Amino acid sequence: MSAPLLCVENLSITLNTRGAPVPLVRNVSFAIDPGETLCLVGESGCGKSLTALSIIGLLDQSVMQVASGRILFEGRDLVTLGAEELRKLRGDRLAMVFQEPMTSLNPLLRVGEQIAEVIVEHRGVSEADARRQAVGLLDLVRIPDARRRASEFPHQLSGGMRQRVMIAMALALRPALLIADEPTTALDVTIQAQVLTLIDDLRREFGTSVLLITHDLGVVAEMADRVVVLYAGSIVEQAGVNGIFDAAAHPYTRGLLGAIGQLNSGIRDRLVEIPGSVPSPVSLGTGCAFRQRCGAAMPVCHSEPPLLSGADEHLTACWLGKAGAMVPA
Amino acid sequence: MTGYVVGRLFAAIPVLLAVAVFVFLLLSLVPGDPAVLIAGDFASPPQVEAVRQALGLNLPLLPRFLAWAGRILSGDFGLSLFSRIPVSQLVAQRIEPTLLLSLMTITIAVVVAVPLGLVAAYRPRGLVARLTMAGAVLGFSLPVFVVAFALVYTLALGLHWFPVQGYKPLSQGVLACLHSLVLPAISLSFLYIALIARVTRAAVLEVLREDYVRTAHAKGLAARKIIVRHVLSNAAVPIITVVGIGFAALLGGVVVTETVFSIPGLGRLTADSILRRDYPVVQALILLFAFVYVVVNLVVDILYAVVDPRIRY
Repeated sequence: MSAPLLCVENLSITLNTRGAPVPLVRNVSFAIDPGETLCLVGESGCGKSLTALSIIGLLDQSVMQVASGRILFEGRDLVTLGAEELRKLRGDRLAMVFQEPMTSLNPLLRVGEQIAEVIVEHRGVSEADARRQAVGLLDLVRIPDARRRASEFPHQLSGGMRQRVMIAMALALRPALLIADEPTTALDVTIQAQVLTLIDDLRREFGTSVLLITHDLGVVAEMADRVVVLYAGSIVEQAGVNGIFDAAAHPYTRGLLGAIGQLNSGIRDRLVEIPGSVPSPVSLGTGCAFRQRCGAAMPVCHSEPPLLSGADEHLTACWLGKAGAMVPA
Repeated sequence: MTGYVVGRLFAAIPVLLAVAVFVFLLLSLVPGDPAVLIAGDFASPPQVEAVRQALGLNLPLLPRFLAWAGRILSGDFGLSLFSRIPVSQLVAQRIEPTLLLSLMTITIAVVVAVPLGLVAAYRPRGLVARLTMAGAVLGFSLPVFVVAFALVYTLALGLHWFPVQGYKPLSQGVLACLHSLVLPAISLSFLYIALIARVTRAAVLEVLREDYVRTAHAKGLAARKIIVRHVLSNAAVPIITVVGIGFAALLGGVVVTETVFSIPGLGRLTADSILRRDYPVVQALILLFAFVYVVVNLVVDILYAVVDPRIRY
């Protein structure tokens, strides 16, 4: 296996407050190989999007910051990289697609112009040349009648089409890494599958790595090579996609899996929800953040759980896996 | 786009008509007999009767209005009661100074205020933001004549950079004319700088929170490009609105400034005519100001459509 394209090491993000900084993401480490799709999974507010934004350097610096850790991308640490150098990577080697296609495009510019803009910025080609390439890109993301669509404004396109435009914009310069933050959450179910297939096809065609953020385990099953499960800002489990679906070790991951409806089960079966809600990062003490909601919590869970590695790089942060700790509370 | 403009044009007609009716009734509403008023204090009853006949004041309201409106449309606003000069001529010679002063004021205001508002929005806790917001309060609350006298005292009397007062018409040279308007324009611009800076700051703050600005950053665009193509253009609609309304208000409301600097403009003509009860001139001026507001609003509406394709289609 070649060296990983992206290597996030012990990343911590804190919220600036008048008092002590509040940890939002704690000690997150993962790596993405070239051409691989890694899914970042977790409930709202668990730090998925913050992790993604910190990679592309778009954290709102006035309220939060990377407190420690490294983000190695193509051999360079994005945390310490200068603003100008980071800007040159954005849109070129690193690209991002956001959750809200309806509001992520500038309403005043033709979509062709918006795609051309990124090509002009990073490649210095002429406006006319970039416009021609933009039409080709719209074609690539399977927008019919690309030439006409390129000269339309965002409000003239459907949500699915706008997300395709976003993807065309992100992939315009064949980035090494595409970050997609819940790219299909705002779309109709039928369109969701099309957009995901498109991302996966383009990944295969260009060898782009994909960091896909989602809370939808159905999407994970379809897209992921590997999965990182986040809970309250920390990684609770990390494994290959089969490891997660066949041998989930952490009670939180099992809870997520239990909360998916099964079509072939009886109609009267209830979905199993995880009781309670994610603790606020302000009130987070020491020990396992999930213990208040965990059916298998033990006294030992008051101390920080160890990150245990199993077969096939399957990591779990839980005392359950630790021999000798299996004493019910 | 053409349909939109035509629609806006037709929407302006009822406004102008309503103002015309009001202005016409003004003469009937003022206390006393308009014929006596127009004929003057020392006219004999037959003279008053002659005036009544000449102006058709003995006719019923509707034919009188139609006749009056017909004269207005052909450019005949009657004679000034005070100077006996045709009103149209009197107003026409006052337009140039006021128009130039308003243009200069609004240009200064935009050039100063938009960058200030932009920086204040980008660095909300920075020095420029604090100074701009504090200065805006000052700009709103300082009366124009205070600023005007302060400027005259320092820049005109002290440093002799500008004339103390007076207006040089365009016919005496463009530069001389603009030079004579610098101080009045600066003193007027304080209020508009405050207004436009505040509106720009608010509009830009709003736009900076938009997802498409984050997209622009994710594309790795240079900061300058993001500001011009993505931020300012989207913040333009409220800015255009205050600039337009400000310009229209300037054309009709520069009485104090024109008095302080003794500029023979529309503002002073308005004030003088009201004091002299020169009703034909007042009527013509009200119509003119209404017309200006309608035209400026039309231009603003058209600019909205130029900026925002969602309005255009």
